[in-house]
Amino acid sequence: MNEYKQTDFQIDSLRILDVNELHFTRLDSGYLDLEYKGNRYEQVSLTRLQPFYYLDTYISVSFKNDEDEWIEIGVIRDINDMSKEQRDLCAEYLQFRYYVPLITKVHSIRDNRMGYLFIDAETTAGRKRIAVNDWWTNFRVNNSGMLTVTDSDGNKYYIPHPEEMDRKSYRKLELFM
Amino acid sequence: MKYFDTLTQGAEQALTDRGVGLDSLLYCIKCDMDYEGMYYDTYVVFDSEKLYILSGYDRQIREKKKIRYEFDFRDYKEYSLSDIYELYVDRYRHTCRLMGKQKGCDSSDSDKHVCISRFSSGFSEKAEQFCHRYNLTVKKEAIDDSMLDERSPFCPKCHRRYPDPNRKYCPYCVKRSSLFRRLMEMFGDFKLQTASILIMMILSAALGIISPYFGTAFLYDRVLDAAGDFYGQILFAVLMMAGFRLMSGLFSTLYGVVFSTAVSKVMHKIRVKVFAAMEKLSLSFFTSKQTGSLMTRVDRDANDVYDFFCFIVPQGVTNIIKMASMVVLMYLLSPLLATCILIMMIMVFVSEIFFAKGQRRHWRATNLAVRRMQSNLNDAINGHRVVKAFAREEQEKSRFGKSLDRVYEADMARSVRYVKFDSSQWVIYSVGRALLIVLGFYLVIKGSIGIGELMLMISYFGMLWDPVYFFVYAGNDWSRCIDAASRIFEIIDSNPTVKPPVTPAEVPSEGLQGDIVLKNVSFEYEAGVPVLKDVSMNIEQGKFYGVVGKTGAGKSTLINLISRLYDPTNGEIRIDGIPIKDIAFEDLRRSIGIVSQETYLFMGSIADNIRYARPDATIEEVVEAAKNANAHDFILKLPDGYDTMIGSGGVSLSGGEKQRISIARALIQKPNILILDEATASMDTRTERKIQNAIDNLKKGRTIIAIAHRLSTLRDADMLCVIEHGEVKETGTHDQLIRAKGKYFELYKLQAEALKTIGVE
Ligand SMILES: Nc1ncnc2c1ncn2[C@@H]1O[C@H](COP(=O)(O)OP(=O)(O)OP(=O)(O)O)[C@@H](O)[C@H]1O
Ligand SMILES: [Mg+2]
Repeated sequence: MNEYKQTDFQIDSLRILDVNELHFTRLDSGYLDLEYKGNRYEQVSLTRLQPFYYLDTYISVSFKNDEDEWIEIGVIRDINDMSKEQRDLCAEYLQFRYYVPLITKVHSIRDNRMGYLFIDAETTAGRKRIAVNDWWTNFRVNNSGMLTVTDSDGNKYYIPHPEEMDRKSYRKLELFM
Repeated sequence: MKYFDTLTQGAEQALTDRGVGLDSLLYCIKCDMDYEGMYYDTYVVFDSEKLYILSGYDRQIREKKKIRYEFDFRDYKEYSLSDIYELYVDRYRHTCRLMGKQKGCDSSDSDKHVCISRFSSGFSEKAEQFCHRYNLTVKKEAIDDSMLDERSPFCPKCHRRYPDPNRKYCPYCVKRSSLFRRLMEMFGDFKLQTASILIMMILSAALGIISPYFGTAFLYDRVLDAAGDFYGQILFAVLMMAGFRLMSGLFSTLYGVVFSTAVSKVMHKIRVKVFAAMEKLSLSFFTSKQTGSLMTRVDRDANDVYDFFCFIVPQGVTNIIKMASMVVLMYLLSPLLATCILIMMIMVFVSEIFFAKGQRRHWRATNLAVRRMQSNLNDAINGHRVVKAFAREEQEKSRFGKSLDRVYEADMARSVRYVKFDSSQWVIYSVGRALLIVLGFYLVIKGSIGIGELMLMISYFGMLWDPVYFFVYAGNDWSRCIDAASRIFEIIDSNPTVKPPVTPAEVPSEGLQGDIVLKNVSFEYEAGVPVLKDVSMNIEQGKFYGVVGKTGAGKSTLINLISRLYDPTNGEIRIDGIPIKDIAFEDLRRSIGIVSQETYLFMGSIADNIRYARPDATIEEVVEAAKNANAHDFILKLPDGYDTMIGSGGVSLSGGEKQRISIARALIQKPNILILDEATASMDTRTERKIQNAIDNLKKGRTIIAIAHRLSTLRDADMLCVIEHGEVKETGTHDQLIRAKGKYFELYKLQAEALKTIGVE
């Protein structure tokens, strides 16, 4: 691990990982271990650099050092460059890590006029009544048109393409976008 | 079992079926997902022996107003406490896992991690506390739940979790009508006014209704008719009509005046209350994501409530009186005509309601577009420096142009719809009126109604429209007012998280001396993200204490706790042996002077800013403090000296200048404990030295805590302490720490090397 011990004045720079040298193993607990260029890292974490736009490209790989600090090993440019088995492993891990219910249908949206919105929605995880406080800050549309909803418990929901939903749902949502 | 969630009946049954004794259970949490991320209800409970995991689905069954839960069983597992010896929360982006650590099968194996359950990240705070208690139980250590008691996270009515456990505010259970009642209670001090207003309203409405009588029925039947008792006295009829109208107007002006003064007084009361409540609130209220935006609209909310009471309520009352009495009068004159008119009214009312509902959509869209446009504009104005520096004017212009277009489009759509609807309404109205007149004359010819009476009916018909339109749109204002009132009451009602002591401890008049002891202090701003971990330190009275550490280590947080802007999540802080929670805020703040990392200057003159903490300070003291803080010279160079206005709209000061003023502000207070958080970071070395000398002078009998990145700032410190990742890594004097060759030594070496590179040793 010496290579990554922080030397005091070393300038940090982007380190692209060599996909052929990466070898992940998945543990029963769901964690990933990594072997890279002869070094072993336990319980590494994969992070999407741009979780909104690129799901498979630019994935940061980091591990926790003895002082509980996350240290970045490097960035994978595209997980599709890896072997199929390795790629699937990573993709599955990322999907798990970034799991968020998608809203597929909106039954009703009620504004209780006390700063709360109640959305009765069908999500990929089942039906749920979502309470949103101060929707102005908790409804976010990003540049690609995806709507992110954060409810008053801090849970998140996505709608990747609101305009592609059924007309009724869209008309209900439209007012808040 | 009191915390954290309750088992539903079905779940209890399912556990009993599997031989679990319910009485001995200690803690329970309910998680909302299964491993695949589908919404399933998973209960995790434990007693002193075992951990039980029950998953399934709580199905709501409504039976005659009662809700019963049935549990669709899916899975069950149990582990013994000795097997899973530790629980922790594994956080992902939007979900978390509750994980358990299991000892390896033989001693050579490393620990195994098992996933217990999965949940949305909103549950993580609860889960963290659950884990903590589980781990203590495994270790057979005592558990202190007193912190939980205070902040029961459930609404007593609906048993749902509060969105924010610090504020006992349940969005599901707040009733609008109770809000209105509370608003009305504010008028309780104005009983006399309210009564007189009501009488005047009735008088005004009644006079307004009688006045058309003189222009119609009276005129035709008694003045123009040769048989009438006022035959020929046209002037009298005109005078009566004008007189009644005048009186009606007079009364309505009168009650308007009385009413608006009463409302103004009430609003004043509310505003004072809100501000007092705001000042009382803890810092966390302002920084919280859920409540931060409440503050930005307090004033607009107060205005909304004011408008409602000043304009909508009186109009509503008079309109109800008018409408009711006109309808009654019309029925007395001619039931047939009255029924026709009423049917027409209802039809118009209903269609208006539908129209208004749709129109609200458009209004909303317009408001949204305007809001978006405004925030674009704000952005561009506040960031004008950056825009200019990067020459992005064109880009900003087109961005703003686009948001303007949206406003225009939304506005157009709304207006077009309005015009279309309004003209069609007008056609209906005209046709209806014509039909009414035809029917009326037919009745006159038949002799069942007099011509004067018909005229009276027609003028009432015209007068009825105002109330109808009013009630169509009053609903909007009503909900806007209640909306605003709910936010206002939310602020008034919220309890500060940092509470003043009930019976403050006795503090000598010269203030606290500054023996500060921290014992096992932990703190987190957001649940599960510890910022300080088990910090213990001893700060002796009259000593200069230096704190160093990397950025984000938790140094400012430590200061926040000592000055009691926040309360520690665990552990205790004592000053002069008194627990900090028992010291009255005034005593605490009087004894502690802080120069914080973020300098904030209020709008006002420099002199006022310096004597902010002690408004009675003389100008000599102000100048003395400014001199000590090395601010005097630059203040004199400003156009108006100590009277120079700063803050928004006033003179802008440089970062170092602002810092010097805030140092002066702390110095003038002559506090026994002086806290300097990076107080000299933006100053040149010479100025810093000078200020340090000033602080040196102050040192006698004062406790000073100074945070600095530049170690030279702390060269005179009696004690130093290094904080890293929220933990105290080292404490000792400069010499001790250098000899120990630890973290401090490393830092020192680095800075010395940096000096060497430019040839200084
Ligand atoms: N109001 C807050 N809410 C949530 N987290 C916060 C808040 N204030 C600070 N933090 C977090 O707490 C940690 C410690 O912050 P703190 O301000 O104590 O650091 P510091 O040691 O003073 O750093 P610096 O030297 O940069 O001033 C940081 O990770 C920061 O992000
Ligand atoms: Mg700080």
